[in-house]
Amino acid sequence: MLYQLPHNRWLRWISRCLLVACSALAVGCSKSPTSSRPVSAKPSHAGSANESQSKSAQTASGERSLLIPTVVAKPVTNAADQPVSVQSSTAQKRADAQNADGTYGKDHVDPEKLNGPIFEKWPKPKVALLFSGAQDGYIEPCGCAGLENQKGGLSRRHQLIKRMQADGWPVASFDAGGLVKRYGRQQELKFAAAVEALKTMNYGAVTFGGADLRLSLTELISAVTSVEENKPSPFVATNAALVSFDDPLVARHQIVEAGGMRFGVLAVIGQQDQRQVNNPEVQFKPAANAIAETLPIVQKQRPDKLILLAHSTLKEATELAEKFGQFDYVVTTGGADEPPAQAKKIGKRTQLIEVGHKGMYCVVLGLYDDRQTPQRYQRVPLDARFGESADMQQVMVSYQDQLQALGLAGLNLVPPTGLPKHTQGQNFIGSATCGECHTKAMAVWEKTPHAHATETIVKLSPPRHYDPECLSCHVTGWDPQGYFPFASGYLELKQKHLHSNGCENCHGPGARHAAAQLGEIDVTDKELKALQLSMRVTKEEAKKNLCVQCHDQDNSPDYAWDTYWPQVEHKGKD
Amino acid sequence: MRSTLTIALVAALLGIALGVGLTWAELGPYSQAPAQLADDGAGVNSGPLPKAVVVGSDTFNFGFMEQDTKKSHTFQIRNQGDAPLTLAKGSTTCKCTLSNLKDDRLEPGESAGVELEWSGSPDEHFRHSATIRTNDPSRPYLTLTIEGRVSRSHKIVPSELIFSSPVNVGEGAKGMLRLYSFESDQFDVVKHEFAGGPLAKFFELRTEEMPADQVAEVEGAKAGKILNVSVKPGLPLGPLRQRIRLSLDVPGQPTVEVPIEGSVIGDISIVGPAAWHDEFGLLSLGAIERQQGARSRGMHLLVKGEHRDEVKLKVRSVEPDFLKVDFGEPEPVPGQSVVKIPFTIEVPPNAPPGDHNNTIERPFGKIELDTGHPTTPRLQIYVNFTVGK
Repeated sequence: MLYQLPHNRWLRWISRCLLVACSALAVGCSKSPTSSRPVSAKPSHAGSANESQSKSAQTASGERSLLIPTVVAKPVTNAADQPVSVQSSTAQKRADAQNADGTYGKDHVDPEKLNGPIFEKWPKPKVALLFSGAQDGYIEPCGCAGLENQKGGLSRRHQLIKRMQADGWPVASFDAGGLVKRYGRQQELKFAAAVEALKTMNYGAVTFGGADLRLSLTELISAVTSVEENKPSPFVATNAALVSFDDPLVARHQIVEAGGMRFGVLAVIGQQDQRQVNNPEVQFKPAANAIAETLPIVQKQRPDKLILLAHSTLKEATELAEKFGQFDYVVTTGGADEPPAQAKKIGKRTQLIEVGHKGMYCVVLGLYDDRQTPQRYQRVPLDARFGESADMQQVMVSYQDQLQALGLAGLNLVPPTGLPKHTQGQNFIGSATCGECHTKAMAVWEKTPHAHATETIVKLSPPRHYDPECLSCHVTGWDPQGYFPFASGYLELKQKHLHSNGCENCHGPGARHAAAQLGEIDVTDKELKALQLSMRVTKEEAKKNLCVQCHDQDNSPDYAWDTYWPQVEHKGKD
Repeated sequence: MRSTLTIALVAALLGIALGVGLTWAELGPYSQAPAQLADDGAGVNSGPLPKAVVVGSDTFNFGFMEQDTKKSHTFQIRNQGDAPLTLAKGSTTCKCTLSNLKDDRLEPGESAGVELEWSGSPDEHFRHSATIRTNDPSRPYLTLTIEGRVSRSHKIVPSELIFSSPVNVGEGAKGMLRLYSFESDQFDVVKHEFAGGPLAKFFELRTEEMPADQVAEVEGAKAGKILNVSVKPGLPLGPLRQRIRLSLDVPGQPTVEVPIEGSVIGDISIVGPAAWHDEFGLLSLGAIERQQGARSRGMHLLVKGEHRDEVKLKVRSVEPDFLKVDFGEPEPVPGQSVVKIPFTIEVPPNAPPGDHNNTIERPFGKIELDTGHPTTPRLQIYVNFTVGK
């Protein structure tokens, strides 16, 4: 932990003077410009960036030949990827929150001031239990509103774990499932990437969510099967089986050891989530039946604590906690996006722990050999204070490389039968053509971030312009909530006329309207008028249905019509 | 050695001077009241101090609220200390207003309201909090929380109908949706349509009443319908993407949309070596020496079902036109009702150089075959390759 200044004014004065003097002395005597950076006195985390890169490359190299490339370990440098104290000072957190170019976002604010401090007055625990779940596909927070304003992401979670470890805390991590939320080839790649990330973070136990089990059996098996000797897969599913319960490919319980303690882990999927799954190769049992079968087997191994991971509604998890009072912790993905400030006690022994949604928070429990305070609870907002992890950056690079290699056709987004037409049935022509007549509207649009939306994702590291979930709102001609291109919509970077979140994303495809107006096709006066009217959008329609397609709560949490609309307000033809 | 000592001495003196300046700037003159907000937790604990107290609980539960309605709760914060209490908003995940405050400052004994407002979102459970920073050294942050549940008129499970196992084109498939009403004891699906264009004719919906015990499984549900979705035989092979739109006669007459996704496979399948990517229908021949050309190995069509002996393969189209396709003789697979037809795809020697790697200018090579099979009359094979110069 970092040195804390004393509270007494004069002692504080003297201490501050001595501290600065020592720092200056260190700078004066050191040849290394980075040696003045305050880091924890604890030993650093074992997994250096280089090691992890080679590990990632090795793991990914066995994946699909030819189409999906062997991951080449790219050098990832990130000054923030250093193990510092989890209770580190504001100054340190500011360093972590720096942009890659060393600057802060223009609206930089200290995340601790925004979201509050964490682990205040925590002594070193005997073991720290980290609970996560319901990542819902958010392996990183979307940057539309500025990453500093958003919570979540595997990278920050890894930083949290590394910081706890750097402080010498033994950490055991558990995930209550729900790595993805959608279906399709991209989700399979994302699931595999997320599993790789959790393995890198050394998770002790991980279970499935309903959406995970909708993916193809091949992908599930390859992702959850351990390939390393003497390192069992962290996956556990007590009431779900891939193929058959008779010969389970996934363990029905786990024993996780950390800090000299043993944790018996069971994991269930609630009935509501089971009903999300229409996969004949996945079998389910009622959660209570499966727990009743398995719990005695685990209890025979005399674990110190019993944990139930419940990918379920809050009601189902509560009922299980009431029915099986033997569990110390029932961890649920049910409930609200934001976990509560404290765990909820159910019965004499069990604590119900909500982990929230979209990977925005983790819950950490500190366990102590202390009768008065045997446990401390911390809801951890995964905000900009944690910086980025080079290991997770590598996972993102690999994932984006795979998306690039497959291309939209390989992701099944460009079916051989052809792309679906936009609901208005017309083709896209690009904003430049619109601007030839609608010059005033174009002048407004050009000054908005919409006009360089594609370039924004191209400049990211790694670039995201092969990622359909980013493209859907950063180019012209896609279904923003369906994540697929319409016929004549953007397909690749060469199509500069379809760059940006252009006019036609709100007004509809305008190729025929433009051709009719420019006299390139013969239309009747009636059709000419009809085409003009089809492009018209009222403020009410925009407010109710259009802007929110991209400025949704997840990707644009600060969005408010009243403040955003005036910045893009425009009228029809000049 | 001397120069190092000199540097060290100068650095130390500079450091002391800098430290004095910084400390003065941070702490100010001794007589000043501790008015600034606690920063790193190291507050000043001598002399008169403010004390921030939330009157009552710092969490308020709204219970159920209607979607798209607003509710608010005002928390009272009292200064029970002896020095002025300063309040400032930290992060909020809802609308948060500090009221009754002059300059965000409360004199000893004064109270102020902090109003938290939430508009019922589509999320079933909600919890939002506001962090208030104070200059109370014992409590530099207050977290105020509102929580509750948004009551909805209806809910459909699953929200997407996914056929995880591929649909066989000759057999079709079935899926089930459960629709719950939370407001009405009785409701109906008054209209439904499949909105996937010309392929909508391959989908059917049959609605039946949900038994009461199944309705009771979902908290708050008053009635339910079971919606049986049938996929008829004959859909084109490849990705399946459809959307069902339901109109309900519950208040507000909402429209519910459910995406349907999966993939369709036929009685005819292609098997091959590692270079064959079945899920994409893609043969990857990789980089090819121009003089040598390249030829696929071990590719077979497997035909099952009652029409397996009717299959007669013909090349319908080839792009680029230099690609060659040759078929072997059909032969039954011993012990199985399957016919196996070997075939090869060849990039002949001296083919034009270039990439065929899925770009607009150089798309994948594409081979279309007529099969003579009644439910899978046509097959497409994509070929990924690069011919060197």
